[in-house]
Amino acid sequence: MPARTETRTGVKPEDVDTIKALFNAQIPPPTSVVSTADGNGTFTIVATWAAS
Amino acid sequence: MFDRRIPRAGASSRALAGVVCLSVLGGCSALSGYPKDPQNSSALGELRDKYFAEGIDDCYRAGDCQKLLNLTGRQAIRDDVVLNRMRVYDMEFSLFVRDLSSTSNSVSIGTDLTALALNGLGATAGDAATKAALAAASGGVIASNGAVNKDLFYEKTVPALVAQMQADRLKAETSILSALVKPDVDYSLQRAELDLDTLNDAGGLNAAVAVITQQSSTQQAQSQLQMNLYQSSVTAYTDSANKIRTWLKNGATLDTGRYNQLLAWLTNNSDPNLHGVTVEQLTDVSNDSLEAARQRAIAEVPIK
Repeated sequence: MPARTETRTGVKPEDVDTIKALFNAQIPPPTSVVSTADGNGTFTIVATWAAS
Repeated sequence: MFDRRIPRAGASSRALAGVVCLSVLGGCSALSGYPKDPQNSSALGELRDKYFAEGIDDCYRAGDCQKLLNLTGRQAIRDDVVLNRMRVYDMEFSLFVRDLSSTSNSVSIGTDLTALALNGLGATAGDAATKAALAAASGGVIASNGAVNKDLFYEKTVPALVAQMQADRLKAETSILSALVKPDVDYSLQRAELDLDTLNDAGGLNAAVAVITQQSSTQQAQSQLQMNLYQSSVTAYTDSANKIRTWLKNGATLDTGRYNQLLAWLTNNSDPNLHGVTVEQLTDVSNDSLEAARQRAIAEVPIK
């Protein structure tokens, strides 16, 4: 499969860990899950799967 | 490739199959998986001779088939000819399916079927029945060496093709039967013959494989489009999304048991569009169809 990413914007701080856990629970798990503050008090989460 | 109508095994293979049937089972019906047809074996030939006779079109046009069919009046002749030709096609199809389902044919056309149907297996195919049958067919592929167990593959693929042929035939039959209520001037025998040709073709393997392949391609494209839509999204904060997220957290970060419960609901869902959707997508993606799915999940899992 080619590499792919999934992005969630506008994530409230209290949900960041849960959404990261939801990505990491998938099979296959993503190679990385990164959250960054977007400056509006919310976060953007990007999950990345490497090509396989 | 395939004969569109009834495939006939060679004389030697028929003789061999007959010997096997007689010596091992005492009859061939057990090998095809169908009960013996109670109809007189000559009925098909008699019907075919009578209703495909050369003079039918001429006497229909004259409105007098007294000699051939003991009938007068164009509409009465049309109805009689069309219904009996449909019966002939039904009987031919029944024989065809029995022939397909008999073990003696698995070697002769199994290879062709394997080559054709394997192409459709990479994608999600057809309706639920077709998909289930094709999924079962993948059991015929031996992953360790890439070899194909043709007998097993054939045995599991035939029901999917038969189901598709039956669906196509039913559609063609419905079209003909609904047209027969029209007066002869609006639905002539010549017009009906075009629909009868469609019915005959609907009982062919090539048409069935083509439909299944088309369905596979369409569904694969739809699934890809759906997945692309879910890849980048503003996080959903509707009442249903909040409720599911709170239930999944269960007072911590993520309750694995509840995650698996929701995953099972998605995987086994009656809506095939939800197969392949992740728990994360169901919970977090802003999308009308996923919002509807979230509301269903809350009611059906249930999520309280």
